[in-house]
Amino acid sequence: MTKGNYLGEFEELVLLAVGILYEEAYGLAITDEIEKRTGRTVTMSAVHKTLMRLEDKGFLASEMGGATETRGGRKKRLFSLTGTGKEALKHTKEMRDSLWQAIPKPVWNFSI
Amino acid sequence: MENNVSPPTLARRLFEWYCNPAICEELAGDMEEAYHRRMAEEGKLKADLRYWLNVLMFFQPRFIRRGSAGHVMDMYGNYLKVALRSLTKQKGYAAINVASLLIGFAFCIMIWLYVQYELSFDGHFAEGRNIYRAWVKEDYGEGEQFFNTVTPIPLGPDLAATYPEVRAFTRFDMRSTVVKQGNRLLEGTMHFADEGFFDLFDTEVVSGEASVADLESIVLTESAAKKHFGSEGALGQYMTVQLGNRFEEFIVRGVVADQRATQSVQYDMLVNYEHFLDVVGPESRTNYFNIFSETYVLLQEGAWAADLEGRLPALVKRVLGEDYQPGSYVVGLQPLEDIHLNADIPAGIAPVSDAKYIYILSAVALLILLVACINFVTLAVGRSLSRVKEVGVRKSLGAMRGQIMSQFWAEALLTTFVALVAGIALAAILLPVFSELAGVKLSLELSVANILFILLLGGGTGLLAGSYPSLFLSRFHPAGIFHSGGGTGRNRELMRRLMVGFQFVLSILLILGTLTMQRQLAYLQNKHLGFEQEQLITVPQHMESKVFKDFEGYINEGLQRRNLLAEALASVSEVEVVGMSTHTFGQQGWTNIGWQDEKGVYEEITMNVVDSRFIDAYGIDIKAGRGFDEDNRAGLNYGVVVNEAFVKHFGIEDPAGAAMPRPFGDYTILGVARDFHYQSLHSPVMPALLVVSPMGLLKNITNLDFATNPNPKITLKLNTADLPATMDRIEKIWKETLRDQPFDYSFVDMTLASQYSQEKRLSRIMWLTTLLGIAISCMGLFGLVTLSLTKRTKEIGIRKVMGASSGQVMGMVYREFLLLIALSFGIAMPLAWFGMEHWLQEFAYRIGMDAGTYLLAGGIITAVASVTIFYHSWQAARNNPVYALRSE
Repeated sequence: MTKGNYLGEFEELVLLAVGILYEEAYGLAITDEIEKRTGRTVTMSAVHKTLMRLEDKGFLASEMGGATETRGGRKKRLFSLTGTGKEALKHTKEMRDSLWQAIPKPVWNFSI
Repeated sequence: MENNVSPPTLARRLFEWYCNPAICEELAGDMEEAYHRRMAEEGKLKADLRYWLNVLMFFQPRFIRRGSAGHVMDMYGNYLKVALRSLTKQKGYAAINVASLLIGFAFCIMIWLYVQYELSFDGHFAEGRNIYRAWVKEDYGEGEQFFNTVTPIPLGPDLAATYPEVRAFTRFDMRSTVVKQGNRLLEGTMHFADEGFFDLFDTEVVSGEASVADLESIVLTESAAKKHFGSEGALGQYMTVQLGNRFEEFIVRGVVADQRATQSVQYDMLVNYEHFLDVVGPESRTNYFNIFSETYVLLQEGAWAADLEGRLPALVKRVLGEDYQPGSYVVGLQPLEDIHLNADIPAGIAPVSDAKYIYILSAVALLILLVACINFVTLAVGRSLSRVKEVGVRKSLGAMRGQIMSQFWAEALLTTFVALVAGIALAAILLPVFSELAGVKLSLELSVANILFILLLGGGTGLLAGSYPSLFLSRFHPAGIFHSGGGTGRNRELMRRLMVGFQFVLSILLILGTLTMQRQLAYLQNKHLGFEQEQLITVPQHMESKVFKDFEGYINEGLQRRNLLAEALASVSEVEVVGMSTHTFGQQGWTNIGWQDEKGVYEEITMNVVDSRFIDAYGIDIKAGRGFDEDNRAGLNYGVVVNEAFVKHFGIEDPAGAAMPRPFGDYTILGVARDFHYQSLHSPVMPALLVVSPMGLLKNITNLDFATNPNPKITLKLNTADLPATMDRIEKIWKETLRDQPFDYSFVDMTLASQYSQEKRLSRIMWLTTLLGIAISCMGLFGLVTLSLTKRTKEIGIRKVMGASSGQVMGMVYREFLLLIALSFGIAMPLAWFGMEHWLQEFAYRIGMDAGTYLLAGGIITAVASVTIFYHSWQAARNNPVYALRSE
């Protein structure tokens, strides 16, 4: 099932949002969270597609949660990070950090 | 939160129908939650829209219900696979199908773009729907009716003052003018409009503001600004333009974007309309019987134009006073978007297209596509023998009829799709050529309308082309198929011939139409017009525009210039005559003068104010009497030369030397000129006169209508073998003699030819159409002959073994198809005759339909068809019969 620990940019965003929302992570909430934090418009279908893919990859686990009135009495699927998911996020971050470190100092010394 | 509001039911149902049940609940829940929140924030409409959008966005493989939907997808996948196989197995047929469809598509797309262009006129203004152009119709009984979209000057203000629903108005007119730049004079056209102009015709402002509210302002388009001020900013600059009898300075107040080609009201230098009033003189400000400018009104949103029109007679009654007679003077309104294509209402300043040609072109394009579809069907039927077995096998294995049908449609759609893509490419490649032919600039843009059209075109064609094979071949019962070899052969053969016959009929129609158009055009261009047109140039003069105040002085000024020039050119032997006139040949609309005769009938004749050399310059043939003579003062002052139509209209016997009819009693008819065509050959020659001193003639008339600018024009008759050198010499002398006049010449023969530009364009498009139509028909024929011969290989083999020669075999094949052509010809001929007779009605002078054209058309189609047939029949006839018979 695993295609290595590689995460796409949007996948990473979704995983992070699931982490942030902790026990309240379901489709709509994740969509909102990403929109709120990144300022970009995200379609619900894109988020759900990614959630399903991440679950297939084993980065996320899910269970059905409670129903509320505003949803027309429908239940929501709550997502949580799995160990592999956390691992993948951490790995991505480390990889980024090491890349950042590798940029030579003079690059940042543009005129101030 | 209101609980009784729920998402759009249809959208929800749709979603629940297609969505995979395993995930439906959570997704629907998310959407509904988002819906309720959005509704609280942004209202029901936005929430509904967003909900629909979500439902549509979720329509992706990952969310779609498996089971039935997935199954269907698999099945179609299989159809496509089989379709691809059957296409590649018979590359020849596939190539013919694709080629004829792609030509049809390319043609349809190009015609679509052209039609769209024509339909898009004036559709882009914000207030477009509320803008109307006024027209006036004067009716004097006895068929004397004057219908114009140029209107009286006071009409606009009177409308605005009388009717509250008129929110704004503008009058619009133009005059050619000269722009002074240092010592240089530049030709230009000045446009005049009221303050309200930009309320009606909004435009993109590049710099400054679009306003002609004050008299010093001038608004330029970007190209005009570039022309006069180069790259430096035009805004705020001064500009010296000739207006009436003086040069005036304007300040450039605004630069606006160049206008779209699809806009009827075109301008490049725009100033306040008051300046136009200065040019025409004060008496025209109130006169309802002089018509000059176009009048546009902007009505209140929701105002009903028909209702307003109903109340207009009251205004007419008030302004005309005692001149008012019910029904004799009608003012009406025409919607802006109607202007470009409504040929029933006369053109104003902008030319009008004829909607009829759009219908014809669209119909022809669809017919061409239909021919391509017929090819598809013909070939499919031809191949049906082998396909029928496949159908039998499929049915035996339990395929339903619907499935077989879907399979054939899938094949048709696949072929169509390939052809469509190629057709779009071909259209894109051919578009520059087609634009040239059509005389408008077209481009293939990725607009919603274009995409929709192309999808509809492809889908429709695929369904149509696939319908026959699909409906026909799916019908067979498996047992029958294996038993007898399938289907009723006779019916299929008949069907095929009918279809090829139909194609022939269409091709013959196209050829006949094109040939007739060519002949009529050649006739128009070669008909003797009653004057010479070779080696003649005309140069308009820019006059102090006091034409309405002092017409005599205006003419005399032109004469003085003519004399100056003639003197200076005396040494140039290549210039034979220097003449002058207020109108020249090829210029539409000479001056009309009208009056009421003793019986109260309104009469109108055409007048051209000329000098004594005009008749010589144009080589007009004097049939009786004489022309103007420079030494005969009385003749110059009180003589006219009339045309034959004039003599006939007024029933004058022995016209030379006779007195003119009332009210021109002071004048004498010097001579009668052979009828000259001063208008295009669309209209018959009307009574006309040439006069040197018009003032006495104008004394008793009630209507003077300068249809086009009567500024004196100089005509030079040349006799030269080296035209460029002569033109250079003339230009040099012109510039020395008439320093303030630009040498802006045109050749008379070219101006005359341009009168038929619309017919020429149509004829060129028809040529293209005919070529395409014949090409497609021949492809169909080629395929059909191939099929027919393959089926008869054995028959031919046996015939040869029995001793038939190659020639006999070929003759046998030919006979069959020639009969078909002859039959098609019999059907096409009356149709073509009817159609072309109708088209030719448009011309007052026209060719008849003759047998030669029909013979030529018949010859062409027979020749083309024979070449197509030849290749195959020759092969079939030559082949060693052994090969044909070996397989048994």
